[in-house]
Amino acid sequence: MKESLERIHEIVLSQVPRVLGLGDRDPSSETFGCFDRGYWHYKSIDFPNTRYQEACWLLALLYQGNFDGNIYYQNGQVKQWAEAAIEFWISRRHRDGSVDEAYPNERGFCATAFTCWAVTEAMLLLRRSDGERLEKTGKWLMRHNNPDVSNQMAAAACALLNLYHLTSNTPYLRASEEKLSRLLSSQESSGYFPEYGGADVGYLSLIVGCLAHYWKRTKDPVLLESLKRALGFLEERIDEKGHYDHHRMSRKTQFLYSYGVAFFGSPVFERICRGLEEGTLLNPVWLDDRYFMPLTTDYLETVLWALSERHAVGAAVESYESKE
Amino acid sequence: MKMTPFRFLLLRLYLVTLGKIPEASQLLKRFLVWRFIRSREEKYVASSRYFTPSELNK
Repeated sequence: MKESLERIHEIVLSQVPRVLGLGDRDPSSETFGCFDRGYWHYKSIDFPNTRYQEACWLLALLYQGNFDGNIYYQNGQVKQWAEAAIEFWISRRHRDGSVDEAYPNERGFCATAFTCWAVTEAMLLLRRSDGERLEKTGKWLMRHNNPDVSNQMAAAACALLNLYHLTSNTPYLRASEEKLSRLLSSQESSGYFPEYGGADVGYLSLIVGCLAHYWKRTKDPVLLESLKRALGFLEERIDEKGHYDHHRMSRKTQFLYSYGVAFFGSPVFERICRGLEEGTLLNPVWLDDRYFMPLTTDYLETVLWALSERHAVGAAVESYESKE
Repeated sequence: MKMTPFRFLLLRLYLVTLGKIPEASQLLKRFLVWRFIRSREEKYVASSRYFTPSELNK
């Protein structure tokens, strides 16, 4: 596992300066903590895309993760930038707690779910105790759903679960369970979660990673059974070098997220590593500014997970692996 | 200076109306160069503010 990680490890470290270059790192600036360079530096748009604030999670992982070559580990500046990214996200929310991604006043479910998930992960990593400041976003997520797009529902479930861990407010827990239950009931018998009515391997790999976080915190046996079916779907469709026919996918995504498959010990992880070694698999280096950041964060989580030597893996995961 | 929706609106309005006339477009360019580069002590440079590891030691 450690050898196959080398390429992922290299890619993560190569992308961190790129992430930091997107951010306004000047504490005296009125846009300090904004990671949408088009907004704060080029001034080519009149609103920031809040998805860039997901940088806070990557920076918090770098701050807390001790691994080879991580010059950002326990660095005060990195912590300050992570905190600033969180604060900028908090400040850019609408009064109802939602956020914008593509246009002003969008109030997007996707952006609100994914950014809230990233911000709450960062807050948990940085051991912040001010989770109640996210209350209006939590309430907004509790009231809204987008069942046509499973990956967004998974992110919303994780965000709400994290809000529960930050605040001990049980309605968040109940809402996250409702979102999860709705998601699991939409799973097709072949194992995929629908994305606008069809299967999409790229987004399914993202969902598996997302729900691995959820499972890690809840050890929900029903969720684990569902994830086994999802992993089975991925394993049948991804070849030995991590490729699949993206033209036939519902969303035509070309990327593969690695954390979930690594976490559950799926053979897909080795296939991804093989594709990366060979230089044929889409990875954060090839992606544009909009999409490289979440995939880099996923790769970093994979590195940290593998280096932890699976000490946190529950018996259920071990039993899944032993069946392989 | 932040790009606000009002500023953005004014800029676009100018660009899609008077801006169609090359001289008017050039006039705006000269104004922006004066406002953000020539008249400033700390001049605006688009290709700046990237991260270098030395920042970690501040």
